[in-house]
Amino acid sequence: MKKILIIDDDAELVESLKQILEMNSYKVISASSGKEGIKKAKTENPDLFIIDVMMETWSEGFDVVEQLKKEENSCNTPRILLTGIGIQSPLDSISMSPEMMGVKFVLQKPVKPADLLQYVRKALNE
Amino acid sequence: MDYRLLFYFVSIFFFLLLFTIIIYYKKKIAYLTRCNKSLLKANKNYLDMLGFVSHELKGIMGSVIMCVYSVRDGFLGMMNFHQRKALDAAVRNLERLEDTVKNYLDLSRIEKGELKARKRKINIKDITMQAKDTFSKQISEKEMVFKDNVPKDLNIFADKDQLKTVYDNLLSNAIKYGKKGGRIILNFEKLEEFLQFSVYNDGEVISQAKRDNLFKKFYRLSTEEYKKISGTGLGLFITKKIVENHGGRIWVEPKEKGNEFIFKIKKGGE
Repeated sequence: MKKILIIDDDAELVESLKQILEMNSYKVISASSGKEGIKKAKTENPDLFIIDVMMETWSEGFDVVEQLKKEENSCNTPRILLTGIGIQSPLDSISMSPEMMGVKFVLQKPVKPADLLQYVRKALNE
Repeated sequence: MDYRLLFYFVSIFFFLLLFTIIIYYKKKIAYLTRCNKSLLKANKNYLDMLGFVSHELKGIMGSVIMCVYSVRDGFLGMMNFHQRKALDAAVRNLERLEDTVKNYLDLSRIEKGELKARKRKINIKDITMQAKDTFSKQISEKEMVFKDNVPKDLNIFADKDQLKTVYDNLLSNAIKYGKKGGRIILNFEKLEEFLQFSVYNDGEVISQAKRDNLFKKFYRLSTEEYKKISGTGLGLFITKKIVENHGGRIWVEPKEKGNEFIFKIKKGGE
């Protein structure tokens, strides 16, 4: 069973993501902050990260991605970023492209379950 | 009569008149400055609140959409016909809410002057294909014929999210106001200084008077037929601002059987 770590401070959203992923045979763990996410990444060794960009700060998710790149056991683990909707997303505020940060997909919130599963499967090469 | 005395009186009179006028206008200017300041503050508060409320609503919608779609699409088990019908209605309204929140969030950014085009090299066909995917259900429900004539290898220098919003808005309108079974055609033309794109749909030709108002904030077509169509009246206003942000302009041209929305953006970096 593949393990997915969701890093997001929106407890309600995490719960709904968890439900849909667990129904589809994934083991899901979660962290409500970037700091907790990094800690869990070291101990849990997930197969995929789903990271929200905007948590306590505007771009906390990017800091998490940067940190994960430096960790030996998670530097090659695929990542999906969740970002806000609209004409000006947080991605615009950084000079680096998501691909350069090792991000497989960037999904705009609100995400629909069919899209979520499709991209999770793609990211895990299933 | 001593003319010198008269001259003094007249001089004093005009001096006092001038002095009174200056004092009056100084007070008036000070009053207007105060009014302007308080209006700017009220406007800023309104824009901040607009942005805050939209952002909060967007956050709430994240989990609501995930939960409702999970049930409706059968990811959490089977449903009977009536349950499915009820959830279809909920999803339709959620989609409206999602559009509304997105438009208001964009509006608050535009009005606060936060809209900046972060231009990168992008493939425009990727964007038109994504837009088509977004609306594929609505296109097939209305039995419309979709034709995308934008070349596959066309790379342009533009803000990807913003161009996606432009195509989403134009395509959404083409479906909403287009004729059932009619055509939607996406075209492209290379001009000397500009790149020109268009979205055509078969449908009722928009009159000149209405065309002049189409891109104004909160303007909506109000014929009997169109009254039933939901919307915020912000889509074309936002679209116009984005196009202008790319050094271009947008307009609508009547055609024999429908309307063509045409926008051009400045070339650069391709």
